[in-house]
Amino acid sequence: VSLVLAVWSRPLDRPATDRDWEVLSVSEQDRAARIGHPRARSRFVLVRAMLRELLAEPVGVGPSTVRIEATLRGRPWLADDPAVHLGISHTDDVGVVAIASGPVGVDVERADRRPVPDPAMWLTAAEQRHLAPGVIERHRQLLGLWTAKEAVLKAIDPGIATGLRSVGLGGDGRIAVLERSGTVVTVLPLDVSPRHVAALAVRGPLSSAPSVGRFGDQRGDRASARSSTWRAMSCTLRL
Amino acid sequence: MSTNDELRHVVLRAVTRVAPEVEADDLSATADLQDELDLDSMDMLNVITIVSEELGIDIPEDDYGDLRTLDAAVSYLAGRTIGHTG
Repeated sequence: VSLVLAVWSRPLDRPATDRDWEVLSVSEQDRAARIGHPRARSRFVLVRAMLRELLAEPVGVGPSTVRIEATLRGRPWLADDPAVHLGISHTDDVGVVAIASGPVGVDVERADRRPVPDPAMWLTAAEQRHLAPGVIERHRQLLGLWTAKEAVLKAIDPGIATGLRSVGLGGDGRIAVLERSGTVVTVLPLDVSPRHVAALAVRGPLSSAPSVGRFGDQRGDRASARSSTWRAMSCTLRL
Repeated sequence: MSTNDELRHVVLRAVTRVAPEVEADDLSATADLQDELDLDSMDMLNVITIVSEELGIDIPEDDYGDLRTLDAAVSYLAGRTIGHTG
């Protein structure tokens, strides 16, 4: 089975404009309006507008007409074509969107983000044993583990409260196994920028080594024609 | 036993420590904390850690979903702190 995947990132370095608000659906606007903090509200609007802009061309409609619904856990899905899977994540300064032909999850964090919660709260015993001794190296490692686990949970969208400790990552952090179901998920690090740590997860083991490119290495896809602030990469994974 | 008001203060203090820009007075008691405040999972785990340490109770991972709103968190913590001194 092949999984076709494209990932985009864009800095969230400006406030949301009226134009960004206008492309959102009524329910997205309602959700945005419920966010109390202006900057957080602006970021939500920018990322959702970004997702709509990316989907408009393949769906063949305008950004405001793309039908995006949300699962019970708030994850967006494309009502125009449920075979298309979406992954979405943002920090306070960058948004990441993945569009794939199978279940996908992405997560991004700022590399300087502190504090990361006590590892005992969210790592398995085996993962805790493999933590690096140095403070700086360990911080980066913890962010890698966190983004990997978050991406895994988003990829499987379990629908019930499944905790981070139930996601067991292998030694190289590339394969995750869910404790209760035994579901296998492949995790790939995403090189969004030197200031961020990001991961992408797809269901199932890969049948061959992944060849995920760096952002900006897009192979002639439509993002290359967009604003220079977009970064993109695409690839096909063999599952 | 902690009163509900005390528990509400504990949760609000934790939220404002994790998200200093939040105005505690503006927070709706029934709104989803993550939605309304744009807290992500790491923020929520930090909130839970602070609450757990302050009240001296262990909050199991399976129960995290019980702390999604201020009212729900207070109700859950009230049940968990029965018998504890608050």
